[in-house]
Amino acid sequence: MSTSEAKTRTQARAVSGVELSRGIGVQAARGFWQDAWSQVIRRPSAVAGLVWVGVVAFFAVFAPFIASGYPLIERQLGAGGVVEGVSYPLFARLSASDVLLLLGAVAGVCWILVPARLPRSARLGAMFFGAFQAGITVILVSLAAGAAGERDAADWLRAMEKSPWFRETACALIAAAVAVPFAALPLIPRRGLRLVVVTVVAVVSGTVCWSTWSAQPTRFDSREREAAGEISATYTLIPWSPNQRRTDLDLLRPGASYHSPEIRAIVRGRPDLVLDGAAIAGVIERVGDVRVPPAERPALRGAVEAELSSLNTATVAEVRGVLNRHAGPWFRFGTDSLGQDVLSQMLHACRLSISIGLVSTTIAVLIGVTLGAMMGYFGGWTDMFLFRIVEIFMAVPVLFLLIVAAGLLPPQFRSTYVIMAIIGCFTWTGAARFIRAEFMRLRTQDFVQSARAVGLPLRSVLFKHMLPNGVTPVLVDASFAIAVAILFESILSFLGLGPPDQASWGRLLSDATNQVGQFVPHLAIAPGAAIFLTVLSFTLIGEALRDAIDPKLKKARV
Amino acid sequence: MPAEPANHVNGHKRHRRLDESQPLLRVENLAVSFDNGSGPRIQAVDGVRMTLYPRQTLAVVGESGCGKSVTAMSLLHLVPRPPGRFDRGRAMFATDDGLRDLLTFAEHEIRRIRGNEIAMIFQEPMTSLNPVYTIGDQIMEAVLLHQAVTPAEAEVIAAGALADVGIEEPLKRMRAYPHQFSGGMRQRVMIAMALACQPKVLLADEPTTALDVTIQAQILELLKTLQRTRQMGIMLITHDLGVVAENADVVCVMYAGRVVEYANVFELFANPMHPYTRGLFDSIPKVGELRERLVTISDVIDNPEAFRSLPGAKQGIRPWWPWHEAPVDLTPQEGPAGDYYLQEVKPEHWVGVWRTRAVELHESRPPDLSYRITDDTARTPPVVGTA
Repeated sequence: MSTSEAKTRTQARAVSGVELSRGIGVQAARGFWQDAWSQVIRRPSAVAGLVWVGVVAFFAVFAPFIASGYPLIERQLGAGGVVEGVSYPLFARLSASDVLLLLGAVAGVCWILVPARLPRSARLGAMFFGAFQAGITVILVSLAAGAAGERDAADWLRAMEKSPWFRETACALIAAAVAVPFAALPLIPRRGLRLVVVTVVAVVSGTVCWSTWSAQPTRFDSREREAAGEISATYTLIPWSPNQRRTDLDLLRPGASYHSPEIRAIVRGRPDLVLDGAAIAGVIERVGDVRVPPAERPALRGAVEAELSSLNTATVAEVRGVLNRHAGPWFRFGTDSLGQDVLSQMLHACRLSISIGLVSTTIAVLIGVTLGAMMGYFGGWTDMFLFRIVEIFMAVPVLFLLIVAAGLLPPQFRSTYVIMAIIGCFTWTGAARFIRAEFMRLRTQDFVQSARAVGLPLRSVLFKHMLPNGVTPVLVDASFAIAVAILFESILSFLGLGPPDQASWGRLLSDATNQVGQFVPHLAIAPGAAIFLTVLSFTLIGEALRDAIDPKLKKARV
Repeated sequence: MPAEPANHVNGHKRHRRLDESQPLLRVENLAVSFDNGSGPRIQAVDGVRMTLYPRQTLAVVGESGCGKSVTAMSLLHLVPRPPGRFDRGRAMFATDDGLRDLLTFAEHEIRRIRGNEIAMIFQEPMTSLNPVYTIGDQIMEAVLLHQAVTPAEAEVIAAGALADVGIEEPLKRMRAYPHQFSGGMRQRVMIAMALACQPKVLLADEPTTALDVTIQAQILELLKTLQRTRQMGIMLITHDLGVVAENADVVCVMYAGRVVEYANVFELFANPMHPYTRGLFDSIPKVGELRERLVTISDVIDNPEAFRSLPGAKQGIRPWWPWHEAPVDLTPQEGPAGDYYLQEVKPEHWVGVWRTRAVELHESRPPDLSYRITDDTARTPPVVGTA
């Protein structure tokens, strides 16, 4: 027998149990979730969905560093262009949620990916817990700061905020409230380590509170100061904040450039209007493109002059073309009716969309799983009573409730958090019913009896042993629920009832038709596509997940 | 966290010698009933008495639904309440601070007993392990719960427990999931889990019913070995008389929620006194005996003569049998099961009888046998019908 023949025979042969016990052909076991996940990522559509959600999540975290009207670096110029000092306005103006999201994303990815003894599921749980705490910090501090900073705030409140100790005390209280639950985290067995974790969390959240509270008011004046030669600034990739309004720049087409108001006044005329030499000279004179540092301005002016001065007369369109060519496209997606950059809004709105979807669904799943588990496990009167509550909540139309809430709530409560809470608190019934049915099936299973016989506490029996065996339909349902929540937010914003001063895809869409009475295509295409793709992505992921964990579908396919 | 019991040293329980002359567990007059919707309550267990000593195997035998499992599960409060209810009785257990009644324990107290002092193995190895966790996770969880150990130490204990039950390469096998184990291996894992915390009492609810005969023998042999080294008392619930003959020290035969016969294994097999027990034994086909038709239990118990052969029959001691009319001289006590008494009809042999006048006059002590087959003598299993 030749060697190659022997080789093919060994390859074709299945291994026996004896060989396995000798270590031949042994494969590591895969858990249920690993197996399901590997099936999900085998589907191209689900992978495409995941990639898109990843892109949206990336911009949700990093949007403030990609699109901001504040300079990344600001150099104060003295007489003769000497740099006298450097400041970083963008970092100084980051909000609590910006900082926490950035820290959480960077630290969280490391925390999950770095190999360690602690199992990955436990680390995921800890991260979820941390995110939960961070969310509470942000909500608490924004409520506290908002209530005190309100224009019609009560006198005692205003007096209290003015008192010297108030901010310190409030920040310390919020930090303590956020940090103390970490002491009960079962992950950390040693007391010393626990103390360290609590301290770190308290310090981080305290700092975040403090920086939010003492945030400087919004002021976008760096371009004017740059034009005046006071500073020289370096901007981010997209040098506009989503809430940076310029009424003279409203409804610009995608790719339009930014120039000084005087030039804009000239080139804003009819495209076929012919400009004479004096007007062209005026344009050349005022090419004060603030994107270019003052030192480079003469070069730019020279370039524009070289192209324009050869012409005795030029149409507005020609002048505009030359200016655009040399100043670069500023508003890549154009501006809306308030003169805000569309691309910047698109990126910043990622955060709103994805957080509305995730947070409200998380709230719904948490409530639904807890109540559903109790209904399914205890049965009897508990089930009877709680199921009536489920029926009551099922009868509430969530969208109309949101609309009514938007109309009735005072403006400081019309925040994103309230919308998330309302969606979460009124859509948990699906999760509760799924979990109830699963727990009724599971509670008679032997491994549940066995877990009780070992002496495990009820919490562990319910949520450690029964829940992972019954949570799969809820997870599938949740991925569809995320899509629905995103749609809810878009609908609300489209109706003008969304959270005020928040970049949102739905608000952009509504701007495409409402405010000026005419349809503006460039305001509709980008946000429409984003909403469509995001909802589609979550639906595709949900479908792949459902097929991966449903054994009946698996059998039919293979 | 609750204060750690004093018998934990370096995370391992110090093996404290138990006084073998004192019972570990004494069930007294236990009665459990279940709500049956609009109908009357169903009395699943009615006046059960039994005693379990250290290093003793008490076999509880009886047909399906006779209350074997409910008795065992009641001890650990695993009977769902409601619909279940403890009607009467006590279950005195030798805890570290003296005898205490398990039935009156609060949920947090019984949780410290479960798995730690009294462990339970269930009938179905195929479904008794949680499919989403590895074997190691499941054993370690029990160890971490009951012993003051770090996860690393718990891993060592769990690996040791797996090695004890004869699973090779335990550290490697701990990372496997239940579906990768055969039925016999899963039952071994269940036993390892039950024994990892070194309980005083093991309730084995038909531990070998779902297994084939060779694995059955291995598992039972394993239980016996572990019992010897740890002084553990085993309550072996089964309906397989072969298993009983091989393993039990004392046998308790149950019918319709009551104990009908209680004796050591040799005495019971040689000299079954209750007609139902005799029927059970006679219905086993014997090797070398040619029969057209096997003997059934009803062949024995339908014969009225079978109920007149107890010692003291002349004084009016009759075996209790729920299908018969009660004797005329019945002197029932108040409450349910008052017409019945577990009487020591001859020394160290108890039979469930009607509570007639004769019984009332000569009430015996409750069943209590510290008998154990000595470890050093090679054991010949008892054979039905020979003394």
